[in-house]
This record gives sequence, structure tokens and C-alpha cells, in this order.
Amino acid sequence: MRSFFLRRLAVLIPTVLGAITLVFFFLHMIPGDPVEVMLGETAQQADKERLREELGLNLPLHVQYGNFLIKIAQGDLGESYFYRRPVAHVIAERIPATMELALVAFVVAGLIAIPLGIIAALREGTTVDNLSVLFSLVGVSMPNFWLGPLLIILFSLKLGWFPVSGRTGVASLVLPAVTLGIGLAALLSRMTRASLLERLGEDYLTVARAKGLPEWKVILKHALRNALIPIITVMGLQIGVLLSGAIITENVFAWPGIGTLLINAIEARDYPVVQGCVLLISLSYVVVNLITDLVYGWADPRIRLRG
Amino acid sequence: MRRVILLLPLLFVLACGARENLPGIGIRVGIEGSIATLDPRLAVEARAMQIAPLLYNALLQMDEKGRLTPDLAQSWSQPDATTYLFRLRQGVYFHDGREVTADDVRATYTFIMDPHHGSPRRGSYAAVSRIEVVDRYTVRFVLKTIYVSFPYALTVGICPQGSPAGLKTPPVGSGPFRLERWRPGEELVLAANPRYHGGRPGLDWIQFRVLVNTTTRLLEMKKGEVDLLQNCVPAYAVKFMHRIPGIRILQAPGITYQYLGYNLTDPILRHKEVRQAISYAIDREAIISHTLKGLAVKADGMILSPFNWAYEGDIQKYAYEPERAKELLNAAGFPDPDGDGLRVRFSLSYKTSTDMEALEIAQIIKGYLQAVGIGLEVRSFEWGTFFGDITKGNFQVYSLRWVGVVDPDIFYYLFHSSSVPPDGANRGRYLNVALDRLLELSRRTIDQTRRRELYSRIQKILAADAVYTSLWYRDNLVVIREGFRKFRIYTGGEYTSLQHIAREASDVPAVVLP
Repeated sequence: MRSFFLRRLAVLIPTVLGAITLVFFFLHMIPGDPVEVMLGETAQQADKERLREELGLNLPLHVQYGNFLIKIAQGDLGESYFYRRPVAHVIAERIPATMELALVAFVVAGLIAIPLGIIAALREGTTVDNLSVLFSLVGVSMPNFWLGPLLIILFSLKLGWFPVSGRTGVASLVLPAVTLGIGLAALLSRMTRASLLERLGEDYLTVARAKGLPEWKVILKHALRNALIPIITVMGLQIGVLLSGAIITENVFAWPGIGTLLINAIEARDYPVVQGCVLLISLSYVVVNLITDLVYGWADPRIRLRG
Repeated sequence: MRRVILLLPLLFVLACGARENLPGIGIRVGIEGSIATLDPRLAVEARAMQIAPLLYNALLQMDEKGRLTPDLAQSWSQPDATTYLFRLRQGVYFHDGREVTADDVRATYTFIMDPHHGSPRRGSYAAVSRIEVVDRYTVRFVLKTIYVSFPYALTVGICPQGSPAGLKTPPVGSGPFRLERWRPGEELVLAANPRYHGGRPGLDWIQFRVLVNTTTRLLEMKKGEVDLLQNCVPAYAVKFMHRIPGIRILQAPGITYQYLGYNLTDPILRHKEVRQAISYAIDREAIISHTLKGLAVKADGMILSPFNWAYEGDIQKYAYEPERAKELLNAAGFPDPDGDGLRVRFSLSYKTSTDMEALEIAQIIKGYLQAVGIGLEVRSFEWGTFFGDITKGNFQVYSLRWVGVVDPDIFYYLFHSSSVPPDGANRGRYLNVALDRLLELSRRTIDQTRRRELYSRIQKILAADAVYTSLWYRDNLVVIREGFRKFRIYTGGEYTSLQHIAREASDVPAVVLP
């Protein structure tokens, strides 16, 4: 178990390093000058040069990259060009909002998807099953920038249940979480259905029934637990998507998270903030994957042994 | 254990729930994007500068029409061409109780001019030789050279002497409102300053909410969660806004100037006739009435708006005359290969941002140019890339706007041969020795009448050479909930008039801010 964990940790470093390296070079390759954005066009050339020097933007790219890596290794993410404050602070302010939205969306997705998947599998071929297919199709195909406003019009303008946007408490979290969660729920419900159907014919279920277990216990404890492995994998990958990919949802609901920060930073050519966000996102992907692997162990003890 | 994990999200939600209430009545304003800094010595973004007059007093400020008026200055004089003397109002206090004095004025400008602070505003004070405190309420600016536009640089909010750079927490001001709370990217709340020298504001608070998504902004207005949107409702949505009961739409001519810019080093576009032909080929009135829903005024001037004291309206005008455009193109040596057929005389690339309206307009212009035999390839880029290309001169034709131009000295910055980027914004590389001389002279001429004549000649030359194709001035458009009285539109989009706005309790039930 320990060696498994250590080996996974060892993979973590090159993965994150690769991601931030790619972003570093891509960012510097695209046109647009952060100094121009910061000082505006009206600034004097000498001031622009001074600032460029101050930010180290006058150095050759490979030197900038080296400095960037040394700083990262020291835990220093640099200072935001736009906010002129430490990147770590700027990002830290946004993390709670994004985490909150991602986790609640994740729970919403699970609460919709798993029961729906189970029912669809148990009632295979019936109307319920067909409706779940329809839900998945719609859920997967509906873009968040469209679903979000639709939910706002219905639940906020017509029914008045929730605020339109902003982060003002529990009520304000519902619509963005549902918007973000529905796509994932659609995917997960299909996976739950398919995976569970595969298990339903297994011999050990017959054994469980023969022991006299009630049907719900047979399904939940024996069939579902075994069916969960692929679902956990997908959920693990998706929580990374939720943490980083809530950009559109955050935009629609004026949710002050990492997504909006990242988009603004790219527009302002705020290199340090973009790099900081990417570092955070790639870290969260890797860590979540690691956790996923650990959860496998809980769902299927054989995986632990092999590790 | 599993139960604990399931409870985690709930804990998060509860953690974010609590918010303090603000008493009294106020107004909620939707804004399009976040603000980087509110420190007036460092801020250059339009949004920060539009809010600044609520928090800070400056020596001078812009009035509704973009003219300079005294603010902290009780009076000002110019004893000689390079000296400006300001007498301050007495009895003006910062929000922390200290009185505003000449020392604070000097400290504010010294801070900006100190290269260590890296203020983007520093360039505007290159001409300043020294700032002297004459007495507690008198300050003198001495310039190295004559710089007639200097007063335009005196609209920066005055901060108390010794205020550190306030990126997260801006320095206190002396304006009608003080900063109550600020969550970057989320909201900015100002509370009334009861000791304001101009009298207590009519509102208890103002909340600015960052609503980047256009649809969301409009829905917040419809729901009644936002009371005011200034210049952030797209033309296509005005009809929708009209249908919402309890909302007023105010419209006033603005000074935001939209134009087509050309690369004059391009082998095709260096022909004046080609640029003139393009100007004649576009039916601007049709675009204004159909695409912009009448929310703009055709621009027959060069950059300056008709409100500007130096505006010259008697310049070469380009009405919609496609036949004339064709003649000019023929004369320039670009005959149409097949009359009204599909083949074009030549093709140009047209760069624009990814803004939906800008793209739509680009397509319409493409149609007009096609009709006179010019092919146009519209290419849209994300803002940073687009702007980077424009400053580098990597374009043939582009469309952009100049926002908030009040000082005619901008012509120097845009068209003097020494202003080619990175030293200015002569992006099209327009080189004209005669114009250079006029521009230099205009900077040194103190007599206003004489200056006006110089600017008039400058505008005539620019229009005749079709360095830009003037398109239109965008109107200022305000959507405001009924019940708020006395809101006035400032041409520069400043929110200054919110200090005078009154909301009577009988008008609508008071809103308590969440």
C-alpha cells in the first residue's frame, strides 16, 4: 500500500511539471503583451521598459522559465500583474467558491445519477428506462451557457425560489450546482445503468439471494458495489473537470471562483495568475486521481493487493 | 467516516452563507467586469476611474459634458505659461477625519511620479519640474516646458499623505462615499459619508456587482436585483428592457468614437483614394438604425466629439456614395475585373475582437465593400491577441474605438510621426511632416483661440487623408429602475451623479442589501 502510494506520488511531479511547462511556453508564444495591458497604451516607453525589467520579461525565455521553476520550487507563485498582489492570495480567495460549487455539483450529480441508473437497470427496456435515456441525452447535449439561463428564468424569475446570480448563501448555490451537476449526472446515470446490468446476471447474486438476503440488499450491497469501480473512475476524473471546468457556469452565475479568475487572467495576459491556476488545476486532477485509486481499494480489495 | 465525507459539502455551504446587512436605502449597480485596483494613483482602467469620483475628490473633475471643473480646487490660476497655482477648499475631510491640505495634494502626485511605485499614470507628469506647498491650502505646480494639456492630468483623486500603495485596501478618500467592503471579482459596496463637504448623499449605500455575463445582467435587472446598468446593455436587448415594467431607459449622445484604422505602409492602403473609397462605400446610417438600433450618432468628425471645444465639423465628409467609391478605386489603379461580377479588385484582411456586435458589424461592412469590388476577409481574435497585433502594426484594416477622449492633444499621440508604437498610438504609421509641425505647435500654444485654429487644421488634414474612417459615436445608454431621481449621464460614464440621486421611500419599497 505504501509503495503504491509513493509510486503514485512520484508520477504526480512530472505530470504537474509537464502541465505548467506547456502552459508557460504557450502563454509566452501567443501575441499580446502584459506590460501593454498593465500600463495602457499611453504609458511612456521608458516606463514600459522599466516594468518589463522589473517583471523579468526582458530576459530570454529559457531564463524566465528557469526562474519560474526555481520560484515554484520555493513555493512562490509570483505576483499578479493585474492585481499586483501575490498570486497565492489572489487564488486562495477564489478557491472556497470553486470548491463549494464543485462539491455540491458533484453531490447533486451523484444523487440524481445513481438512483436513476439503478432504476433504469432494474427496469431495463421499460418507459422508466427510456426516460432515463432521454434525460441523459438532453443532459449531455445541453450546454451550460444555455441551461443556466433557462434554470434562472424558471426558478428565479418565474418561481422566485432562488437568486439569479452571485454568491450570497445556500440558496444562491442551488442553480449553479444543478447546472454544473446535470451534465455529470447524465453521464453517470448511463454508466451506472450499464455497469449494473453487467453484474445483474452474475452467479454471486444468485448465491446472495439463495442466502435469503432481501432484494434491495442484493442490489445495493453486492451488485452495486461491484458495479461502482468504473463509476468511481469516471467520477474521479470528473471532479477534476468540475474543479477546473466550471468556467462557463461561474460566468453565467457571476460565481467568484477559479474559472472566472482564469479567464480574466488570460485576457489580461496575467501570466503568473494563469500559471498559478493551471498548477492548481493540474494538481487537483492528479490528487483526485490518487484519491480515486485509493477509493478503488475500498470498493475492490484486490486492487490494493496488486498495488 | 462515510457520513462525515457526505457532510463536508454541507459545511462548505454553511460557511459561505452569512453576510452582513446594510441599513437604509441604496442602489445596486451592475458592472461588466472586475476592478484591479481602486487606488486612484495607480488605477487606469475605465471602470475604476468611473467609480473614483464617488470615493475621492480631485483638484479638478470632469463634468457631464467632459469639461474640466473645479472639485477640491476653490480657484486656480496660471501666473505664467509653466506655473499652475491651486487654492484648495477649506474644511474638506478625509473619511478618517484628517483635513485635506496642500501636503496631501503634493504627496499624491509625488507618489505617482516616483518610479518605484510603478504607476501607469506616471507618463502624464513627465513635464512636471516640482510641486510646491505654498501654504496649508495652496499648491503650485511648476513645469519644465509648456504643456497646455496639463490640467487634464489633475483629475486624480487625492489621498492622505503617507498612504501606502493600496492595491487590496485603497487609501481613504474625501468623496461623498467611503469604501464599505470590496470582494474583487464579486462586489464593491460604498457607504455614504455623512460629513461630506458637499452635503450628505441621498443614498445610504451603493453596491456595484460584477456581472460579466450579459444574459445574467439582463435577468438580474428583470428580476429586480439590480437597479442600474450603464453602457452594458447591448443594442439588441434594449427592446427586451423596454418591456420590463418599472424601468426607465435613458439615452444621451456619447463621446466613444468608433472607427476603421488602416495600415498606411500597406501597398494597397497607402493610396489615399482607396481609404476614401472605403469611407464612401459604407452606409453608416443604415448600420446605426438597423444593427445599433439607433443607439449611436454618425461621426462626421475626427475622434473628438461635437461636445469638445476643439471639435471641427467643417471637414471633408464621406456620405454613402458607392459610385464615387468605384470611381476613386478606378482612379487609384484598381479597376474592377468583371463589373458587378464576383471577382474583386483586391482583398483586404479586417481584424476585430470576438465581441458579437463587432463581428456583426464587420460582416455588414464586408457586404458594403463587396458591392464596390473590394474583398474583405474578417478575422476575429481574442482581445489580447487582437490588440497585440494592432500595436505591432500587424494588420491591414481594423476596427476599434476611442473611449473618453476629452483632450485634443490626443492627435499628437495618434498621428505624430514620433508616435509610432511603442512610443504612441500611430498604429497605421501615418507620416506627414506638415501635420507634425501643426501638432508640435498646438502643444506649445497657450492662446485658446489660436489652438482651436490649429486643431481645426489638423482635423481637416486627417479627414481629407482618410487616415481613419469615422463610423459613429456610441450613445450612453442607462437602464434604471423607476424611483431613483436625478441620475444624470456623464459622457465619460462616470457615476458621479449617484451622490445626488434620491430615492424616496414612497417610490418603491426600500431594498435591504443581502
